[in-house]
Amino acid sequence: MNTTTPPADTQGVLIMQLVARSLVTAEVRAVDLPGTDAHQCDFAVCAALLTSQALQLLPPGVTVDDMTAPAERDPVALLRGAEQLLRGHPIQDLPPGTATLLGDLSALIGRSRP
Amino acid sequence: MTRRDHRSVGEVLLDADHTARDLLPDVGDLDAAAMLRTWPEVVQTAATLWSLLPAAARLPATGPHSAPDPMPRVAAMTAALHRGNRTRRWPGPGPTDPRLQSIADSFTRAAELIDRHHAPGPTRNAAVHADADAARARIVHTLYITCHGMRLAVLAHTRAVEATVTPWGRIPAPGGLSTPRSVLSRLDAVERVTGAYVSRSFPAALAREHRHEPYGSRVATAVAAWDVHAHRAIVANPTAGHLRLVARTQELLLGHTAVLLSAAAQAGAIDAFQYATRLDQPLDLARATWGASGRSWAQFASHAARPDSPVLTQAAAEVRAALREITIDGSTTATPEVIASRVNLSSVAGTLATVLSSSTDLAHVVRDVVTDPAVTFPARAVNAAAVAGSTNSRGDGVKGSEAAHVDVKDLTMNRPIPLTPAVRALEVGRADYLIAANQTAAIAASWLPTFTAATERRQKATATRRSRSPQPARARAGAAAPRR
Repeated sequence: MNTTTPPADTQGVLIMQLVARSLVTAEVRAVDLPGTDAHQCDFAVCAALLTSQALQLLPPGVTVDDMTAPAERDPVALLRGAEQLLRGHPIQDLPPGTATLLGDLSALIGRSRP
Repeated sequence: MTRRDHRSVGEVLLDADHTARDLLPDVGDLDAAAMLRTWPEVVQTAATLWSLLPAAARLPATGPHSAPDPMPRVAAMTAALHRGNRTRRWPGPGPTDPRLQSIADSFTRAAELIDRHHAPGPTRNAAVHADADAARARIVHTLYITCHGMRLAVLAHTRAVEATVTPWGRIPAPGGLSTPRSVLSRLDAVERVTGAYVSRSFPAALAREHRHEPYGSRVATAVAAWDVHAHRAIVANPTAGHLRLVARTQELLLGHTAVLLSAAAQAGAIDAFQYATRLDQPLDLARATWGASGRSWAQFASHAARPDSPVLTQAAAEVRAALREITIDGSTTATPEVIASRVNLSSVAGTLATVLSSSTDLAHVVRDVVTDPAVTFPARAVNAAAVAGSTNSRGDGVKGSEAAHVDVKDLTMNRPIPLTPAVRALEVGRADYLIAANQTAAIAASWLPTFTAATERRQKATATRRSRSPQPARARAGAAAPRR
């Protein structure tokens, strides 16, 4: 009987790293959002919670420290980019919990749409 | 927002409806082919959700309000359209539309919630039927709006194809003109069926939609839990991520506090003159200082992003949800009248009086962290802060800033290191300003009645209002002088 754990889908891990990196940048860039301080703050808190959610889905020891930050500066565009990354990959190849992350991400994009 | 979706069925359907409405202003940018590819999934998930709702209230057989159940017809029409599309060259395979996908996801989520929580067997509860009728009205309204947006997109596509017809009658676009014209007429039919139901039920059915009453003690419980977990997280594990989440949430908390206290002042629940002349500005300044702190720590956290403590993120999400439930109406800030209709403002004002005291204490904890030489941060974050601190407003290096700030090996490995003296001095200055602003706001709020969940319970039991003087915040001599 094979008792070894199958290797994690490296493509799925890479996508989750890119998503987390985009979310980190979106949170930092919340200050560029149009609207009131309250709107920016709410966006930043939600982005921080999403970031944590995405980082929890990475395998132990995998970080985003060496990932290049996206060049995009618009925080909502960064979220949309993260959403497209997730939607462009079969959900079964991404870590369990991705569907919840995707739902929360879509909800934040919906609320942040000007 | 939490790791789990805590929205009710009504809230999920409202989100789907908002997403559908968002299609209409963007008609020029809509991708007709992508929408047509996603539409069958939207209808399929809507039909599944529809089938799980309690049976519709009995409709009169005749008269202006009678209308047949539209869902089987819409599902059948869409299935036929989808079958036809599979054999045609247009829209063909390709990407799906993210907004229609989001609507389908919302319908799926609502169906899961109903399937998981519905009581077995038929119900005679009129309120349940009324809520189901409201859900049906929302579903069909969402389909109606989406179909309308899609029809406009197909129309735009048809016109674009018409413009490409050569003088010899050749049409270079795949599918030619006959396919989009056929799709257009079939979408017309779907729009008419859904429109008939909408004109009968929307928005009248929504008036009887079930809404949870916000319970006053939710804010008190959420704020108390947040206070405990914020303190614990910073003391036990003072990461840049925890510091930024605490600062950001404090900014959010004080922002909502201002909205609630302003409403309380307008409603006469607290002294309006005292609020306007003593508390309004210090409260806003305290909020702004947490905002500045949050932005600064977010820069630190971005260099070594790690998951935050789950209990801290849950507490932050709950405090946000508890406050937004009261202060937000649709997508904007609720009016004072709406806020007053949702909660007992005297009670909430009393709860929020304690927020400012604990906010000052949290500011002291932040200062403790930045003055503690044993606390470390990622080398790249410290280096970035040192570089930012060693340049002036024009981006030029200031005198004495030529030396390396951080060891190259630490930088390469992004090892945890203590703050450099210059960065520490900068952060201590920020923390002092944070303490001073929050202490000023706490003192300015000393006239507010303090009120806790326990006193609320006591008040209900004895019908006697009791208040006590605010407890002094943890104050430190000499910490109140802002540097900037």
